[in-house]
Amino acid sequence: MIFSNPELVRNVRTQLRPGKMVTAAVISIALSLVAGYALTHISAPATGPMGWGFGLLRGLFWLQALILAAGGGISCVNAIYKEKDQNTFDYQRVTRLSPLELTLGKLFGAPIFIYFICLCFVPLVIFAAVKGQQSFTFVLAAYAVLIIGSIAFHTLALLISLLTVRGSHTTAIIFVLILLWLFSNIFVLTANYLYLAPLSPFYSADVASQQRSNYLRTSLSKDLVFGHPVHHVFVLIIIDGLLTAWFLLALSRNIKRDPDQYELYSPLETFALAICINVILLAFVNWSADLINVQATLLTINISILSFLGLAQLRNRDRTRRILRTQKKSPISWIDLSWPAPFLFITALTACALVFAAAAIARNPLMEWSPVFAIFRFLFITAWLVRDMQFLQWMTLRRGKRPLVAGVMFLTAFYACVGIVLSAFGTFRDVDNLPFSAFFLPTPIYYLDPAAWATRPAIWGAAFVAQWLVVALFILAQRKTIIELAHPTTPDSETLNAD
Amino acid sequence: MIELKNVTKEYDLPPGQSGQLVATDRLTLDVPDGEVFGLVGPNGAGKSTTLKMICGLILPTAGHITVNGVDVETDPEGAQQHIGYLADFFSVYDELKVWEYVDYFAHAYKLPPETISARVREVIVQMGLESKYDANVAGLSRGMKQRLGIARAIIHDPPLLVLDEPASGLDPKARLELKDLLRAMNRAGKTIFITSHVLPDLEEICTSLAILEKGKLLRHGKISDVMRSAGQTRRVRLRQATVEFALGPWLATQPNVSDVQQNAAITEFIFPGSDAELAALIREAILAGSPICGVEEKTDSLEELFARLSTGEVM
Repeated sequence: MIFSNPELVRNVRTQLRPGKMVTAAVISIALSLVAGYALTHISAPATGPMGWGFGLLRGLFWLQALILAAGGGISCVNAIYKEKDQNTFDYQRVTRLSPLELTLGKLFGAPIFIYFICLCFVPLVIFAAVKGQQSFTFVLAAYAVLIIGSIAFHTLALLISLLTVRGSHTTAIIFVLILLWLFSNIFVLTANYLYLAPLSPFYSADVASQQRSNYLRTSLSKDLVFGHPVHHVFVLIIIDGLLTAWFLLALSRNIKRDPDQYELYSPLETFALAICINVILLAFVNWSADLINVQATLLTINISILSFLGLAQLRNRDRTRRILRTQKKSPISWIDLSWPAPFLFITALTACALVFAAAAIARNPLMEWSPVFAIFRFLFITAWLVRDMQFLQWMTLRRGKRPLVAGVMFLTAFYACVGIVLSAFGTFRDVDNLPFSAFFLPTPIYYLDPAAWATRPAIWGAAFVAQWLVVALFILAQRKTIIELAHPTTPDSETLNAD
Repeated sequence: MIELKNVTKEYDLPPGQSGQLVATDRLTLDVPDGEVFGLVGPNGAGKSTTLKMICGLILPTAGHITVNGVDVETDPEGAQQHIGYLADFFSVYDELKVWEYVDYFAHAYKLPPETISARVREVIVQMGLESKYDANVAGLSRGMKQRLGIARAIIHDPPLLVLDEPASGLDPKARLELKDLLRAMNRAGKTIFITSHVLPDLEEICTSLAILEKGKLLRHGKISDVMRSAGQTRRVRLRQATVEFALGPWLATQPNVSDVQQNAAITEFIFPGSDAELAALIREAILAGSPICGVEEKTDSLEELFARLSTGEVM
């Protein structure tokens, strides 16, 4: 039972001391009374879509979503990081709590005070719902959206907390807040191409403040899943539930592990996650929209997903050393020497194949579509992705304080510089010169169609081959380090402080 | 109780230095049940790394560790239930009360719920913290927090205690109490694996020890065996009633005697011979006119032994 989870109980004991609870409750009730008094004295009626009852309800849910998502997210970012910082985390790791128990204890325990603050707003929510004559089913649905959306976000924040290293705590908090913003807006940005309403806890404000008669008619209330309308609250609960499950899997795989050996997902799980996200995306695609833009949207989302999953598959020096020493294979397998290229290639290709197959089946037959170019674009994107990840893998195996961070910085600087230089030469504006930029940047691939290909087919082809040559170059570069790590250090080797 | 087989742990040297840091180098060690086993070594010898690997907190680069027959790598939770671990830093939850802290770990170690309340009280009393039962952890002294840490480590009554520098930062009284506590726990049947910089303390409580330096095991075994294997020599101190007789020069002419140092009535020398040979030497000296009125034998302390074996790392 979650309520008897020792980690949850510890958080309750720590955060919900009577004095603290009374203070929070008094402040919340005072705020509620002031807001309630002010609103009952304005002229608008309490009922109806524009009445203050609905307005208050919307405002309250928005406020609760902000408190629960942002406040709870920050609490979750602190949860594991602080334990590591004050050296208490190892004591939790050696207990008999299973990884899942420890994770769940932290997931619900770290933001427990934030949950309590939200609880203090419930009387005012009920008051606003009664005054606005809102159906309690809607209020309950809004709370379901609020809580499930927040839990999904908290799980992600907890995962970030697990991965946060000393000295990057503030960055982690800023990153979580940016993610919250993205989480709340991503489906607004893609609204033209995906029949999917927002998945964030802020959607609870929309649910709570809609009139029953209006709500069922609005586009926000329903998503199209493979062309069939489904109520968005159900969709949100299922998708957020799925995301939570995936984040929980990463957490429980790693929370009790040696931090030097963290591996978010096994290669098979990573592959399954990439496919799972693609199937979800494809279920909501608006195939009647402009196919080029739909494909570009799916490509962009896939690049983001595969970049994240690719990063999760990178091996640091310590992990590589251990993998090579424990498997006792001699000579070292080609997969180890070229990791993660083969894995990323297969995963990216499968994801692309899914998108391609869906486009081939579901697209509007009247729209112009070239399957050959669709495949070529996918392959080009795959090559580009594998190239960058292979570079980051090579960097990760280099000796240094934070080699992966350095790698990401180098890559960012590279793209920024190349982008500026190519823009200065007007490469992006000129169709004839566009293929030259494909040697360095992925963006020209979005414009690759039969007409663009016809301008300079040899350059396009050379740019594609060049990506794979660079991949091979990085594989060769990391080979030396891998061979060095595979062999035990000689007894006379250097030794320094180890305690 | 603990078995380490060819355990190697390698890290990278800091940026700018080539090569790898070998925290432990093919370490093979066997700690039998009921021992108080001390792990001695200078800073950077690999002591804390070894302890963390035993507890399953970090994984070795190569090699295998078992605790009570359970493989730490394949079944870390199974091994951890046999271990009570105390790290070399004071870290407790300051916001909790003393009983809440112990109660948290009692639940985390999954003790039967009906026994938890009694066990929490029992351990708090055992650690001498009964007067602080309902006090906030934040208000405890350093020594008391250390006791609380030990209470946490023994709450699930593990057969093995792994303690990393438990006396570090404690005042002499608290250190004395800690030694008594460890002896009592060993008498109660617990195996104790301990590291410390305070070698005289270790010498008093340990039954066996291992000396580690630069990740390599220099010596290990029963304390007496380690001392013997380190080529410990007998240092004899003679006291004369008067100083008329030049005992120093006389001893220097005798066979088997070396490193003679005379300071007024006291003369010290190294004598590797047997007890009977020493008795004969003293008889000769008396017959030669030395007014010997006291004989004392000095053995190397663990500290001296370590200083001789160590290659000069700072303790």
